Amino acid sequence: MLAPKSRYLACLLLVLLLLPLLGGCWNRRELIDLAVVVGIGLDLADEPGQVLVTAQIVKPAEVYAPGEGAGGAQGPAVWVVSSAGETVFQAVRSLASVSDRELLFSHNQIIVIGRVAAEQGIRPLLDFFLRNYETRRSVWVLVAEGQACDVLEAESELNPIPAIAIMQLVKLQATRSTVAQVTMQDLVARLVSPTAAPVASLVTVFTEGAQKRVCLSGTSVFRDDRLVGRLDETASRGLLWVLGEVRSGIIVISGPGGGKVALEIIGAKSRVIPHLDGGRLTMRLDVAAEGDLGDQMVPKDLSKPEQLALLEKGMAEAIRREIEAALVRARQLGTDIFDFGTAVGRRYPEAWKNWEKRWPELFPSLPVEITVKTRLRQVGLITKPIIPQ
Amino acid sequence: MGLEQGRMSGSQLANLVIGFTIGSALVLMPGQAAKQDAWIAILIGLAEGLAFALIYLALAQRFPGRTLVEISQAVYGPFLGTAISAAFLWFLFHLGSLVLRNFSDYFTITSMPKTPPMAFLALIVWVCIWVTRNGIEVLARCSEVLVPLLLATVALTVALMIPEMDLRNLQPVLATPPGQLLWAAHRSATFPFAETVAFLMVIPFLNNARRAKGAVVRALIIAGLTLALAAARNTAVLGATGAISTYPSYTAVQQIDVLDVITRLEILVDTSLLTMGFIKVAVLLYGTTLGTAQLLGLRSYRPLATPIGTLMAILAILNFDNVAENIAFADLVWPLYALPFQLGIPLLTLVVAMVRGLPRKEA
Repeated sequence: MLAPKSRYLACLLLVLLLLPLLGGCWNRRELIDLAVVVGIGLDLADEPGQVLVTAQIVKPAEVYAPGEGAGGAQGPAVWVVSSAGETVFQAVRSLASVSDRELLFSHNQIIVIGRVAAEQGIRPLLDFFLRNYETRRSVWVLVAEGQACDVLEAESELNPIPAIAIMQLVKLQATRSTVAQVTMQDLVARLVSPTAAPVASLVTVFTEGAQKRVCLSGTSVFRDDRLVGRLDETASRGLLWVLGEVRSGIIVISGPGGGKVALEIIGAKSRVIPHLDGGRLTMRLDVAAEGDLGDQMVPKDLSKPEQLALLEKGMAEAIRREIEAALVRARQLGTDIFDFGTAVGRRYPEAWKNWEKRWPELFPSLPVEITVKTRLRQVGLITKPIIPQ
Repeated sequence: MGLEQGRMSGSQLANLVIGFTIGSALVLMPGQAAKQDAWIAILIGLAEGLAFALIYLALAQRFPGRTLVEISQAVYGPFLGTAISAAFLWFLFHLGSLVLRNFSDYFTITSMPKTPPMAFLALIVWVCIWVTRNGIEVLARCSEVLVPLLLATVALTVALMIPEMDLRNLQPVLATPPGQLLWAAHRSATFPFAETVAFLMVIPFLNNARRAKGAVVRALIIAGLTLALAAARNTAVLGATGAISTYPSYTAVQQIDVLDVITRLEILVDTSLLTMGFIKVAVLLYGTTLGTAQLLGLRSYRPLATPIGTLMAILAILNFDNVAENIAFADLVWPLYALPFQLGIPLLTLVVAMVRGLPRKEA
């Protein structure tokens, strides 16, 4: 038997020896052996029935050493690489035929789905991203106007990693509220609903000189899981009003004398209330928005209660027009992008059982009563416009 | 002189029951069959589980200081008593292996797909064997540290998830067909609430037998409310997407994102399974080991811990070929298979003991 002191030391030594094991050693993956994927694109491959997966991979050395390259010619600090396969996972794994580092998906920021692939249905494309343990549901999902691989090849002037630039771009849309911001979780929530239509941000590639750039423009709309159309920016905001997801944005209305006045949205709330009256279902939609006077191109003092009241009225009308634009488009496409179905199912669970199957026919003719309340709060650092005093 | 010299207090027993009941249930989430009414199913299941627990408590109260193995010897006589005890010990042993299997499956799926299951099993069983050899007192004290931490963790995740919650996901309330709801409730009674039947091997070591009832009932209620809260939290965050998740709590906690800084907290779910799974397996291993020693009339139960623990880990692997078999077993077999052990043996023993007027007052 050891003396208590040496026993104690032996224990301490044992603990210290065990410590390095805590990091684990099975299938260890060192950072220098990994390729960090920041963006994924999904397209249909040229071979029929095959999926083309495009990955945008960070080149760490070039992110941290800007301008140090010979000649100073700056390219994006990423490598974009594609591979085809019969399923998404096979295509992903096939990337190992060209990438000398193992791909790591934990830091993926965006998933872009090409238009043609989205028109064929997105359910099969997304299974891998939910099933795999590296991918996360907080990733942003976008639909490309053209090919997803083109979106991932586009560059950003301000960010060496284009996928992160797109992620930031999506987040910034909260300042305009003209594009639906959709994460994988949001998308899946609608894909498991029998009636709700998925939507996603719409991303378009355009060329500026020799460079490809992206812009976010509106919202893509699905029926079941197939891409069927898009909402323009007006209708997109209309959708966001209904969903209560308008955070900020600019509403331009005509001021007295015809000059334009811009109002900044500060916040909004919405309530969707299904109403059943004698077997007739109507949707009541209450939207309440608050705003500030942002700028005015009218040479008239608008900082008066009666003028502000007029502006509030104009704002309410503009909001109503946006909502109606979204309604018209949704009815045309026959897709319940507002998720009215779920609201009805929650309010009238019994009746819903009959309606659920027929919802695609019922939805387009569903009457919607819109009530908009607006309030303007502030006029900024000047009360009067720049006119001779 | 009994085989177990350790004693524990009422609050230690309560912590042990909470940890045992939450065990793997926080990860596997009972009541899922009732969809958005899962939390209601859990509460109904809790009521059913409490009714069962009152039977266990009545039995324990009738034979203070005696485990179920000793009780059945007294009630049924040596021959039948041994058979019933053996069946009961099988249940504890089998349940322990099932929990171990959940344990290795969870870590395989969520983080380490290529690590052999035995690597997880060996580590956790090793700790459980160690604590079993040290007696019930050590385990009870472990639970006193781990369980309050777990409850704090659940409270923390609920608080951080508030921004991700949409309470409308819980509507329509009680729209689940009654049959489906009650089946979901019964399933959550058999897993995890009535699994506390294992405590018929532990309650005798309470330092004050009168505390047993209060401690167990209080602990079951706390555990049930915690699970119901977690179920409501998951539904509010995930909505219908929870229905396709293998581990809804894991997926729900993944959604936590506070200003891009506080993210990837699913490790908290891992630790909850690690700690509460440990308590559950340890109680079951302890019960099996002690019961076997009593059944065989050994002088000590300690030498049995290692072989029984090893067998439990091996059975965990042999139980199912794949996760689909596990799901099918949990869905269809367990809610009925568990009943003879959770209700049949305790109730029968209690009734026979009452009819026979046992235990007889001596002196």
